[in-house]
Amino acid sequence: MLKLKILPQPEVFLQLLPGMLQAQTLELLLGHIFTSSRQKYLQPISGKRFLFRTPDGEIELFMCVDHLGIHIQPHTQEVPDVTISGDLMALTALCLGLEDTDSLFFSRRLLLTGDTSTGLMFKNILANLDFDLCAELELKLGKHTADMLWRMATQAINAVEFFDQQVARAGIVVGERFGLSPVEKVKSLETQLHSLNEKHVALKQRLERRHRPDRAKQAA
Amino acid sequence: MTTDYRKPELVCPAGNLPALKAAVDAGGDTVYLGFRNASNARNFEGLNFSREEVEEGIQYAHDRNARVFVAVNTSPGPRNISPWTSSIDIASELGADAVIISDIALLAYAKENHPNLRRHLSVQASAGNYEALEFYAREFGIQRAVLPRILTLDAIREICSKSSLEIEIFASGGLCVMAEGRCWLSSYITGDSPNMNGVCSPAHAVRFEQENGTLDVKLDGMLINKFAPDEAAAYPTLCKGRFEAGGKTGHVMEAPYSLNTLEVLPEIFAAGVHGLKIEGRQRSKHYVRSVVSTWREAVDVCASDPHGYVAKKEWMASLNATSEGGAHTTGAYEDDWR
Repeated sequence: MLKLKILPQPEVFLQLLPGMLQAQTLELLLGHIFTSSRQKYLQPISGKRFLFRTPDGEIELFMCVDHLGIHIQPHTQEVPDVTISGDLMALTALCLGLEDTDSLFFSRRLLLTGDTSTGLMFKNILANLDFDLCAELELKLGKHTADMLWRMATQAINAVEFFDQQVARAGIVVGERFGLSPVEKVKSLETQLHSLNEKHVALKQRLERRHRPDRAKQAA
Repeated sequence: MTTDYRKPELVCPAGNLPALKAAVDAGGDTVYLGFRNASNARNFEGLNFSREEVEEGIQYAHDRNARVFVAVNTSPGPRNISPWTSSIDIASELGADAVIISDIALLAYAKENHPNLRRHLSVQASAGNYEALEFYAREFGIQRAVLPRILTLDAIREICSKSSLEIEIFASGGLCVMAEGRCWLSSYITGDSPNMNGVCSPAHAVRFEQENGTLDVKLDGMLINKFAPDEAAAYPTLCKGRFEAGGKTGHVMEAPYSLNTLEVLPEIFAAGVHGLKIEGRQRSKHYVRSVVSTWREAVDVCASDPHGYVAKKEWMASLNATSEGGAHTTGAYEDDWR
């Protein structure tokens, strides 16, 4: 497996890592949602190309659909039929059916440009899926990892600062996120999450120790 | 003189099976839905039910003492009526509790071929007076009529008192220019209308373009609205577009407010309506669950004490949170403009 070495400029890496992890999360979720048993639902959008992107452009995922299912790439020169823009929470909510998508559109958190028919079809395909992702992930990954993945998917935006802090303190080798089998991807993400979680706990403890005297002074 | 209060049933929307289950689980008495074709007035891409999904939905609802109405409420064109008639046939075969129809040929077909299947007159028929309702009852044996949203509560009360039909009114959700079945605004620009094609502003004609945070909404290439970066967006319908008129730019036809009749619920009970319809078949299961839960609680509270009933702030906030425009109106119900 190829390894992505830590970039020489830490600030670049700091900006990159959360996005990569978030993109990988989104990719994993989409891949999981449209497992083979649900691929039949994709037939109406077969041959269509979608671009998911965050407003800052940090995440750009290109997804195309064919008779074999969905294929996701990070970047491409191809012109998408539909571009779905939104913050990570909104994109995750769309994919997982976590929130009412019309409300996300009204509040300007989700935008669909390009071929509206195809975009609406995709939205309604997702809305028509009746599944409990939490339960499915738990079954596949185990409760601990599923909990972490779920937390990350639903709190990814808030987590960015937290990831940045941790990465600044310790180098992390990240597995190449594309070109891996689904199992490898899950394992890769699981490893990263586990590592980050451990570092988060350590960091929290250090910060608490550091701030304790200040609070004591303020209280006095 | 004492007032009789009738507790109406909650008639809830479902554009897919998860939404149907959400509506039933949240306390909806009845769910209305349509097949995945032009036979119903919400014919959007990927929305609505296959035959198998209708079958599963009816089973799910009946197992929980809820009912399912099937909307076949657009008007067929001159060439091929079979998608409409077969929708009625399938609804009957699968055990739907009623079909909601607007077209007189389809009403006649349903009466002749499925006499035991309840026939409800759709809002798309635009029947807004007692005499029209009597005509439909006499000729087509309808059992219920959904009134258009142009009537005041006084007018509704009068119709309820005179008519032997069950009366259903819209209680909550998106509003249009209140000329159901007669609005051709969408057709004027796109060629498709809710009356014939089941779509207002069909997606193939809609384009969203955003630059520097400003969102342009175009319908068949025509700019119909422009939203500032922090401004809430609305559906891309012509009636809610903003246009220049008299030197001013604004909502010439209708502002994007949503209907919310929670504040006049005791008056609705007193009018004697049988059904409260919640709009929103195009919305997600989350919307359906949230709105139906709120309405379930409100209707139950009002039924237990109509005199002491007050619409709770949290109910209003909950409905506003998911509504188009983020604000509400009682529409024509309290108007004195007629």
